[in-house]
Amino acid sequence: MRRSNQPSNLTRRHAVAILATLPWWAPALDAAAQPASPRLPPTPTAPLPPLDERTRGIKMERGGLSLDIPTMAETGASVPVVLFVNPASLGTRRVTRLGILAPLNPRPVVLEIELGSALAQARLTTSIRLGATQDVVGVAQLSDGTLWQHTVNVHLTGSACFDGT
Amino acid sequence: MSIEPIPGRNARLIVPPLVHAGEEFQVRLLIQHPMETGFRRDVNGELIEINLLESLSLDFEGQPVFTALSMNALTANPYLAFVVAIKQSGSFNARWRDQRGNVGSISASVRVVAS
Repeated sequence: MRRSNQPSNLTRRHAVAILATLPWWAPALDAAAQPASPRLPPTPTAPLPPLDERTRGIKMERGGLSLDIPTMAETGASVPVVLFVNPASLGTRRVTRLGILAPLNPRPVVLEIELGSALAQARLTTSIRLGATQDVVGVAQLSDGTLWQHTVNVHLTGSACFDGT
Repeated sequence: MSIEPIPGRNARLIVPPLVHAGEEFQVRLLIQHPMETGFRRDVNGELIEINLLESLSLDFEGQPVFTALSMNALTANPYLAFVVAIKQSGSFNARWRDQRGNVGSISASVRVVAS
């Protein structure tokens, strides 16, 4: 068949052409996939991989963390969230970071925040965008490295990806 | 063509004017910013260029309140509220920058009264 002849005519030149371009655009794709890397101000601790990689495959307790988010939202363009860590369950530890993951969003790490010493409570109030009905995961990292998570299924009737706002 | 404010130049940092020493109160930050995700299209079907806040931090007299490390899916006009307690009068200072290099900052002062 004609198809069987094609590889010998095409492969070498095409393979060389593709390989020559590969190193140029491969890093650009990586950069485009993670556009929101913070540059200012410098983080006080050593840089860590993204939150979704740190939490992948790890079994996390709920601990004292609660993720307060509506179980049904009219639009994903704005969903109010409260992340709260009960101080009674902390002991001598403190909460160093709070994060929110939405695994079905185009960028799964919704928010990651380093908490400072001026805070009286580990409580974060904000509103986030969701792309689809999914399990939203709140994550808290303690000063001893422990990760706590609380997962809430949020049902959306409209996605933020196609919304005008 | 409509005249639009520079993204991120309009903001509010809401704090109570007077507090007792050590009293817990809320600090609320609201920044007027489109937080373009890069996934939306304009009326001509062209993708709108991504423009998210890439750094945001709030401190009280040099003492950090929070530093955002990742803000991929905050809403347009992001709102963040935290609970703090302070011992002495001073001012809260927020600074941010978006992916187009627009920078902004806002401060608000709180006076501590004897309890």
